[in-house]
Formats: sequence, C-alpha cells, structure tokens
Amino acid sequence: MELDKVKLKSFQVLGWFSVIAGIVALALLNIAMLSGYDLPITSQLSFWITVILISGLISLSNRQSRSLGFWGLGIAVYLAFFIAVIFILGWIIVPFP
Amino acid sequence: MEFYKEQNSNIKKPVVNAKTMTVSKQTLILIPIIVALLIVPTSYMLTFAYYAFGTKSTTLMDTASKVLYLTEPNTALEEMEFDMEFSLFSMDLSFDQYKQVGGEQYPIRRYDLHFVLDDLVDKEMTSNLERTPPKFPTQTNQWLVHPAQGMPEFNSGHEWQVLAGLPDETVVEAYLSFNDLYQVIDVRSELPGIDVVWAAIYTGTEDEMLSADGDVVSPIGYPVQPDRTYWSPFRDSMSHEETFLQMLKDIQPYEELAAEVSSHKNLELEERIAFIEENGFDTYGAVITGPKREVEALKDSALIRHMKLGEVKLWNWTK
Repeated sequence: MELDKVKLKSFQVLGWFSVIAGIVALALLNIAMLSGYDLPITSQLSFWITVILISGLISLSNRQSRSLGFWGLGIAVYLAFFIAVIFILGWIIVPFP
Repeated sequence: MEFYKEQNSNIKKPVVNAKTMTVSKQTLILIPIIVALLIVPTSYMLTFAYYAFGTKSTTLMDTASKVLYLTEPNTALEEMEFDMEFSLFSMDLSFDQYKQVGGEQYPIRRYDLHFVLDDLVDKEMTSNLERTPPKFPTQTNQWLVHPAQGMPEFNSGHEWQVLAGLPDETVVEAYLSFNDLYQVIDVRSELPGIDVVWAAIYTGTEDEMLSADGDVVSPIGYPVQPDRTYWSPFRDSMSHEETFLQMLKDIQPYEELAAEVSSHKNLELEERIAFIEENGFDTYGAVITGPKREVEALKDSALIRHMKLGEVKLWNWTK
C-alpha cells in the first residue's frame, strides 16, 4: 500500500518535472530571442527536449499523472518542431555557408 | 446485489469528480502560462517563414547589393561578409562597401539596414570617405556631368590644381566628364596607364538630370574592370553592359526599396531601361583611378570636359 503511494507520488513528481522543465525551457527561449543574445539554451535545446520527453513519457504510464505527461510531451514536440523549422528555414534565408 | 451496485456507484462518483477537478485546475493554470510562452517562438518561426517564402531575405540583400553597384560610382561589396540578423518580424543587414583607389580596395562605408518585414525602416551609413559626394543630389551639384549640361557646381580648374599639388607617390581617383557621348571601349583605349573603373551610362535623363516627370536623377552606370570576386554580379559576365541592363531589370520590381538604399532620390528605372534598350550604351563620364602623374597627364585630353578629384591614397600601384 505504501509502495503504491510512493509510486503514484513519483509519477506525479515526474509529470510536474516534465511540465516545469518545459515551461523553463520555453521561458529561457523567450529570453534568448527577446534579448537578442546567443544564450546557452539555444545550443542545449536538444538536451532539454530529451529530459522533458523522457519524464513526460514515464508519467504517461500512470492514470493520475497522465495529463501532466501530455502537457510535457506537447511542449517537447513543440520545441522539436521549433528546432526543425528554424534549422531548415535558417538554411534557406541565410545564403552564406 | 442491486444494493451493492448502487453503493459502488455512489463511492466512485466523488473520486471521478476529484480527478476531474485536479485535471481542470492543472489545465487552468498551465494553458495561460504555456500559451504566453509560445507567442515569441511562434512569431520567430513566422518571421523565418516570411523571409523564406514571402519577400525573401536574399531578394532584399540582392536588391541592396545591385543598386549600390549601379548607383555608387567605383564601389564594390563583399557579400560573403554581409551580416544578417533576424528578430521578431524584422531583419538587420550590415555590410561594408569598398572603393578601388590605385591598385587596392579600401573600405569606404558601413551600411546598417533595418527591415521590418520588407520595409526599410532605418538606414545608417558610416563613411570613411575624405571627399564625400553631395548628400542631396540636385541638377547641378553632381560629380559626373553630361556634355549638354551647363557648368557644374565644382570648379574643374581648381580640381586640376589640387591634383598637380599632390606628391608623385600618390594614387588618385578622379571623376571625368566627357565633352561628348562615347562607347566605353573607346574611352578605355583613350585613357592609357590608368584603370577606368566605372562608366556612367546615358539614359536620356542626364542632359538636365531630370526625368520625364521632372524628378532629379543621378548618374547610373556599371563597373568596367573585369571582376573575378566570387560574390560580384559581374563575375563571369561576358558583357558588363548586358549585365548592367539585366541588373536594372532585376531591381525594377523593388525600385522603391532600391532608391531608399541608394543615395539617389529617384531611379526612374522604367524610363531609363526603355531608353537604353532603344539607344544602346553610351557613356558621358567615367571614374578612373591610377598614379597621380598618369591622371594629371590627361589634363589636355580632348575627351575630357570636367574633372572632379575623388579619394587620394599613398602609392600602391603595381601595374
């Protein structure tokens, strides 16, 4: 019974971690873009996505933390889409090697 | 049995409600935060999409580059050194402009252009030139003068005097106005020992420096010397004249932007392109560079009506 409670709690913690990590990554991305400086977040985005994705996927396996997992996954998918768009379009709009 | 079923359903109801409450609370908290944080990155992606598929960043860059080759005498750009930066719905374009004086290229201007979408909203130009052309071109203050025009605002005799006073160990840039219209190839053969770097082409408007609409125009022309630089629009050009005409046609759809980038107030491309297509390429003035002594020797040339001295540098001539 106690183990179940611990399991449930840890799934919820992972779910919240996934969501909060996603929100922090988005906030840092906003700061980097609005300030115009090349902050470390832009080069570490793939690391952030991996962390959000893994914790989000784990929290999906429990019914209580599933909605949090979906939020985390949604943010991770958005960040991955953002990287892909910026990389491909950046290659088109900047003609220099 | 019925009693148990009823009791079970009564027990489950509050659990489902509590869960629904938790989820909706989470949703209520998360939606505004996440939506607010998505605005900037999404706008950034839309900006990139606009410069990739709308008005292309390369089109804006090419228009700026081409118009400067055609309207700023004896200048070149190094497109590989263009700085391009993108922010929300805007693009910054920075680059250096070079001028050949003697045998070497010198940086003369730094351009910082700020576009909001395809609108040029800010243009900053830092100049290193010692002798700057008039900032506001009029009918009479320009450095290249058509033979049909009256006296220019500069004193040609004074310019020859200044040239004569320069040390022999210098190289100079000079703006020559001819007493008639000539073919560029003839001008090159008539001016030995120096480089003819830019030729001003007669487009039917230079007699009075006014377009058919009565707008003041400025000289347009093209670089004469072969240009092997990787980024030059004249690289691999079999005929600089034809490349010049093609470049005029290329920038015509973006004439307003081109005029804003250039120091010229009006380009009147439609009228001038039609004239060139009908009458060909005649020059009434050219920019030359070379050793001071060689340029000074042109004083008695029957070709030259006026001379305006441009930049002067220490000896770098190796030809």
